[in-house]
Amino acid sequence: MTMKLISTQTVTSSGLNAWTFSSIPQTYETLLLKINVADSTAGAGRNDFWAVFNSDAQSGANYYYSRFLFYDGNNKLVGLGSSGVGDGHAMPGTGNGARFGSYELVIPNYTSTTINKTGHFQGGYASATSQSFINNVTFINQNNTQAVSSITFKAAGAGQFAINSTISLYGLN
Amino acid sequence: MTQLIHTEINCSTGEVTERPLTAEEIADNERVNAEILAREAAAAAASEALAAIKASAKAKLVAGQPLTEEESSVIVL
Repeated sequence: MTMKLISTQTVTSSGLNAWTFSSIPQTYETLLLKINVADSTAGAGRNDFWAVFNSDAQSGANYYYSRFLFYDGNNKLVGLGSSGVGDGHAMPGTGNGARFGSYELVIPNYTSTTINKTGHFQGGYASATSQSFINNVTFINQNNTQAVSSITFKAAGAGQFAINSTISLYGLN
Repeated sequence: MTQLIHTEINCSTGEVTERPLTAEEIADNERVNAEILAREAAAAAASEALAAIKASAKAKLVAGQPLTEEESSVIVL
């Protein structure tokens, strides 16, 4: 297997709510995104972020997500079921002492124009204040066969990706 | 209030462009966020309710007391 860095970006100023990688080369078998992020919204203990393909609307019939959250503070696994609403992962906020979360999103067969697009998204973070962890596992299904040429990450609500948050996009063959 | 920004990285050219979010995008983000939080709260409440039923069923089994139908349904044989 070969793995090539396509692009890596780091947040250098405040206010970043949405983050798009566009004109993705269609020359690989699989896309891998390595994500190291936090939310800098004042007072936020955590915030969600999610991914959409090809600038799709973040709700409606385009997506189905199946998501599980695991909180080790009470050994609780919470299944959030499936939803057509944009859904993603919990990332730590400044209320958690500015620790960053670590995540990976894998999108196989992203150039196909004959199958629906899927991705698996996993990662988590440790709370600096309570030493608890939140782990996330999400499966994404996009209900169309369009090749993925752009990926957008959005922070929920008025969330902001914190300075020094980094996303790196790799192509795998 | 900090202006919310959308950054686009063109992977073919390396060009990075930034623009402020539109009012529609902000409103849509808020709506989706509210739905996510509501689903998380509902899922957490359901998980806690199930844990309470299991605890009650276990306590009754240990004490030799009859279970309710709801409690008996959470017993895995």
